[in-house]
Amino acid sequence: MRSLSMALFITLAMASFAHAQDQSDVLLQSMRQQSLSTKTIYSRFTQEKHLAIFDEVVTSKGYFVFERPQKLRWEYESPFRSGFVFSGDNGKRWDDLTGIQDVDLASDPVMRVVAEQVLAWTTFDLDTLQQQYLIKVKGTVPISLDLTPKSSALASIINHLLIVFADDGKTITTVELHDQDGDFTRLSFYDTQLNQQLPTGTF
Amino acid sequence: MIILYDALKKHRTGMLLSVAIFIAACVFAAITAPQRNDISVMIPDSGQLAEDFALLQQSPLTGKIIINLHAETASATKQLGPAAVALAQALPGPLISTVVDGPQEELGPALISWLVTHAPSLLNDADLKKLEEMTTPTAIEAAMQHNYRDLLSPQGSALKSIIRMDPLGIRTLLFPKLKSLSLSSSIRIKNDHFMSESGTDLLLIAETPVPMTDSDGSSELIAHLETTFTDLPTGITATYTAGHRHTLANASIVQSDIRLALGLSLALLVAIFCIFLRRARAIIVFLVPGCVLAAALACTRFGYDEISGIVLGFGAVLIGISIDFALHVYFACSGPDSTRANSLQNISRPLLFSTLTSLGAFGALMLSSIPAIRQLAMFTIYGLSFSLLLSLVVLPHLLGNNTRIPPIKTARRIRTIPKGLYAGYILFLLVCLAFSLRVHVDGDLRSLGYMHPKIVAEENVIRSTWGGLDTTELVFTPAGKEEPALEANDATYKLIKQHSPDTMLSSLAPLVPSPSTQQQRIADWQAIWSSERLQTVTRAIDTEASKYGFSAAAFEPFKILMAEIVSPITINNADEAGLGEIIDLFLVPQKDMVRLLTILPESVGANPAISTALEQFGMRKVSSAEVKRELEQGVRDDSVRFLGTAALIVLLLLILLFRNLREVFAAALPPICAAVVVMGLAGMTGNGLNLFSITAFPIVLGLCADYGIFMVHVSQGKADVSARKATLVSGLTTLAGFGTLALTTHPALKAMGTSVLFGVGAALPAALFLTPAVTGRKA
Repeated sequence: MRSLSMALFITLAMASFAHAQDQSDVLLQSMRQQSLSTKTIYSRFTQEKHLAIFDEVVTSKGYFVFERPQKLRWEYESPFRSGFVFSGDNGKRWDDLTGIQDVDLASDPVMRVVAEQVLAWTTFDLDTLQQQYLIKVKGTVPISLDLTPKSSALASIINHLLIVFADDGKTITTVELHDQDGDFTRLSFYDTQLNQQLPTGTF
Repeated sequence: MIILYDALKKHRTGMLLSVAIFIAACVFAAITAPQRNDISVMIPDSGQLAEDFALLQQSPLTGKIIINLHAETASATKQLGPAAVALAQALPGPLISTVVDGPQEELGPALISWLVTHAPSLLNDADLKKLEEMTTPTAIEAAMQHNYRDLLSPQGSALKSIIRMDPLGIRTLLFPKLKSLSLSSSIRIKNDHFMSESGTDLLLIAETPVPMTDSDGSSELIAHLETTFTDLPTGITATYTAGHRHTLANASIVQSDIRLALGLSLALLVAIFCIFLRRARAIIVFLVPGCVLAAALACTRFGYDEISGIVLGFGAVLIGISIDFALHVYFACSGPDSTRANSLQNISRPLLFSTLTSLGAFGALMLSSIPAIRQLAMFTIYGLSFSLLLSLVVLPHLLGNNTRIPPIKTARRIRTIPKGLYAGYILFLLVCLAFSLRVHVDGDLRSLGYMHPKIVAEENVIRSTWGGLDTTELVFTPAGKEEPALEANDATYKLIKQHSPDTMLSSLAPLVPSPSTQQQRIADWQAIWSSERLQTVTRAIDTEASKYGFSAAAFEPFKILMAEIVSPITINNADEAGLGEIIDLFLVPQKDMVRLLTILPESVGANPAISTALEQFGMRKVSSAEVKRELEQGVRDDSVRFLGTAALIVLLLLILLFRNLREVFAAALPPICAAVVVMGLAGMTGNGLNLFSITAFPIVLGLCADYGIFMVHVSQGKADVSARKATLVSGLTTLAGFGTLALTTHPALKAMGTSVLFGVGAALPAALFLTPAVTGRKA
């Protein structure tokens, strides 16, 4: 009798796990479809750096612009002006101290990884994210996802990512990047506009 | 001879049975003999050249498979990376141990940390001057501002630990030193792959446990590579270089050449048999070369570990020349059994001296420093010795009674030829003599081994894309323990940089300096970083840091690093930084010692001042071009040695045999004519004589001297007139054996065959007509 109960319990647990897994997959796929339908994104952000190297939380403000397939502009406006813009493998970075510099992502592995990651998180590029991270659905209202790096190279820097969506599930409101040593960075997005005409000269 | 014949006659059955068992054992040994087909058997195994070739084999990419993926169109370039990753996953297995498609991904943070930690050992005087400029208040202010901005950027998480350890940016002085580990200036790192400048080609390097000398393994390896390449996406093509391709190509071509040469030889011998012998019992004569071949291979096998494919190809030649003695015996024994002993007695002296001239000529080849040539010489010496033994001792007992050979109609035609033909022949000889003065020696390695055009074409593509290592010089330190090797490596680097500061060198010296260099640098570093200076700099860092809200402990790792006693860099701890695989490319282990390697452009290595200085330090400089020059010189030296020794031996034997100047000259005429014609034709065509065409010379001298010996004996009346026919048929069988080699594809076999074809072809008329004319008696 006891073994039968145990077997029943295990079966029910596995069934509910499988059901939950199926639901997660369905959710992710619907989010993927949503992101694919997005051609442009404009969003402002506030960045909080919770790093032990600083006495206090350091806050920056800026905005980013995305245009499919691979154009990205990421700009800080305070506490200083700096940023980068990419179209494919080529781009520029600027800083109000050093001016504008050309960048070739193919030859600069650090910038390439940065651009790839930022692009993947902010646009919810599920194909790239699933290649590089194990994704768990933590909550559905609002939708929140926990991402753990698969590769040891990425895991040496990032412990996990937390991505939270708006209530309508169409835009990302928060990305938290947790380092291995306990530090974390929080990006809070607001005034997000999807599929709007972008000003010329953005990229 | 008579006593021997009569004695064996009584025990004929037992003798024949013993011989049959022996031959059967030889056939088994011959069939199971292991083969070797790589180029190393063509390279001298002693002297400086052998040492240089062995060192050249130690170059970083020797033994490895270099794969080039090419994007056929601009749109296909995006496929290169994924195709490389897929190939790097599909290839490894029993035949391929590792595939490198780019720098190790773990190399980043660990390597930067290692570099900064060992900065005191790595920074030279010029670097330290720049470092001093980086420690001014203005520079520190700028550095901290940059650090703050970098930490706030998206890449901040990745840079955090590095900035804490190196707030001043010392790493910017260290990164350029990594360029010294690049094997080629044509390689760029893009998207974590080795890419060409144009972006249309991607490089992969594969390691294999299959030795280049293993023909069967090479075949499996090549098949595995080419099957895997079929899975590449459309628009991406693969070309590759590997020594195994040449091994396989040579093995394949030698095998098909052996089949062609042996098959054709046998067919021609059958034709000669039908025309000149025409007796069923004469088939026994053809058993002799078959038995000789088996016995020679068996004896060669026990003398050497492996038999070269060249020697096997030479088997066809051995058939052609070993039958000569059997033919002479056959023709001499054309009579009842009762007269056989006397016939053998008469033929034995010229036969013995013929054998001795041939053995002497082949013996000259034993002076060669090339293993394949020496093996070929021993193979032929065994073969000719067995041929003499079988022909004189065994064959007469198999011929039975009344083996009178019916005359052939052509014999009458041969005896009288128009004087015009004599004149024409002599004119031809004079023309050849004139052209022989233009002949040159060709020492190119490519003329010694078979180079498949497709393989050569692909190698050229890879060389033009990535810059070939065969346009570089390799400098090896003397073999020694790690510390002296590093000292010598440093000295090499400094010496070359002194003479040619802008040269791009590939060397370990910038990243693994010698202990004495490290000691000096650490002392210089400590002189800069006095406690006062350190305090000033750390105070400045703290001041600037506080402006940006850095914590008090933010740059503690930097302070700890500055205060630490620096541990020296060794090859082992460089390995721990993830540089192990790259460093291994510059290490040449030699038992319990090591040589270190520096790679520089050939144009720099050719600088006499650099060459002299390197030699004074005991460094060994090697390049493909230099090995080629040494080989060319070696071939010239060998040719003088072979020809001189063979000619001397033949001449001495002729003098010993005839002791009459006129008869010696008459006997020497055929080999003289042969040499003139071969050299003349080489001079006429401009092709030159390579190692193997020169190797054929002693063969030609020995064989053609045999014809002269027999013809002089016939002229003296000391040999039966049937010896004339035997000489003719011998010459034809030799042409049948060698002539087929002229049709082969392998350059070594072809060169030998062509030399002997023309040499013997010219010597035969000289032997049959000029020699009797010189002796002044009717043949």
